[in-house]
Amino acid sequence: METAQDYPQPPWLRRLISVFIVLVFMTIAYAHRPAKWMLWWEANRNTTFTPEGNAFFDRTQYNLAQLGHLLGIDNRWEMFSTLHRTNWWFTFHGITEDNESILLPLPRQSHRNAFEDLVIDFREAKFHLNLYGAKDRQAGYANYLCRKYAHIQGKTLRSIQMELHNQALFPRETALTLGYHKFPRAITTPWGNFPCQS
Amino acid sequence: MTSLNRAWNRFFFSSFDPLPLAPLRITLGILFLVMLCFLYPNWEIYYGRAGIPSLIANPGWIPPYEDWWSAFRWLDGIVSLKAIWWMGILTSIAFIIGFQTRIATILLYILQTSMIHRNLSVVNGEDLVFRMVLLYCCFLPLGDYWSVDSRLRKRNPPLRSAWALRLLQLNLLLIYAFSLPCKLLLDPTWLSGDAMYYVAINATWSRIPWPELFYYYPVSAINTYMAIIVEATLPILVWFKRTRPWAVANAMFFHVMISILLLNVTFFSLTMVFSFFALYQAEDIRRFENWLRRFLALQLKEQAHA
Repeated sequence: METAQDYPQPPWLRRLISVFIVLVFMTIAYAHRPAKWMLWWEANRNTTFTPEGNAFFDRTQYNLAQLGHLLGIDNRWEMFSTLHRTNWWFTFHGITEDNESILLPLPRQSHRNAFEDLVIDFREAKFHLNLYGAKDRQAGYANYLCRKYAHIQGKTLRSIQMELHNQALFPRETALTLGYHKFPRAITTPWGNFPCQS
Repeated sequence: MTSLNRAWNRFFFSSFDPLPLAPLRITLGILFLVMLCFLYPNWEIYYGRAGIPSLIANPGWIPPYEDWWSAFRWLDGIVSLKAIWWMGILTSIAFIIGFQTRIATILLYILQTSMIHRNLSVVNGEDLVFRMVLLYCCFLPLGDYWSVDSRLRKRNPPLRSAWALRLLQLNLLLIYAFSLPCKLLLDPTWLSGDAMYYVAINATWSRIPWPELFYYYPVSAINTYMAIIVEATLPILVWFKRTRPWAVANAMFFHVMISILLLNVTFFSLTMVFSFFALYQAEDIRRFENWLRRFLALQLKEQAHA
């Protein structure tokens, strides 16, 4: 590490900044706490620690979570840490009053030109990833679709149907033997049905 | 205790020359501007109350909890969403040219934070990196070089306290320090060498034209272990004068390749690339500047001869 000259600052300011630095690192460390530790803590908290100790720990956790949330340093950096073994995607169908299913004209499930694909839809893949396990976000999106496509192809929408499609990817050795890497067909699973209220 | 105190002070409270923050500001500003332009067609859909967040009450629908930590909420009914977008564009331009840089940085941080909290569904990696970088940039002298502010000041920029830069550097490096063990612990393919095969054949992430190449173990393994080596060495080599320029350039190249070969992570990767300017020191930038000058002069000379 290279050394440089000391920057002149009043001691009180250094102390204040030092407290901030420590809080930032505590918040980052808290955001990356291993799930195993938290499970252990939940299972053993009453037998291992005093009520005062537990209360102090709870308060500290709450304050760190709040600080991380306010400053925006509560991210967990785990990109590509678990790789998908399937190609997966969602489709959204509008179900009309006469029970007809219409594939809604949305990105990733309708024809898009190169400009739309590259520029306009650049967040759509992550959007679907963010919808994956979040029922409240799915409901919010379905509510938006109900309003946007309230009347489609001259019909009124009754509900939004969300489906998950999974196409298995073969292990590398299998792909090398077969000469292709994905299962020819995708498996479709109903992922949610959201009634439209009007 | 005293030596610890001294080491702490030397690391966080030494002075530094903020030259590397100039390319960081300009490149990140341009990227933010481009991202805002790309978002324009979906701006109302992503962040409008009647868009995907569905924050409007209608029969049978109770709007979800709206995060109060978003300027969009507080400006609702006062400033239109389109006007906020235009303010974002103007602020980005001010940030790029370094005009009222501190204010522009704070405004961009508020805008980015507001975008994240208005609609968590459309948050992408670049949003999170931008927010983190902009937070520390609020405390950094971004406008000391190559800026309108520095032209108006008409004097050499002074040395500055390094604490905010150190926080930014450490947080950038912690991204790798945390994500690499996660990779190695959570997915055995990172150790077996098959990880890049799964990346290359994934329809959501890959734009690699010949994913079939990754069926062959050496191709997949070399790429997998190269990624691990880059992630493992950057947080260490960056602290040594001799290795720093190469370690950072290597990580930049790694992310540029990701932005070319992978879909949907282009902005994230480029945000990382440009944030890495914070890892350089002024002497590295000056050395590069001199090399570039010599190179351009040589080119001009050759052209004149021709």
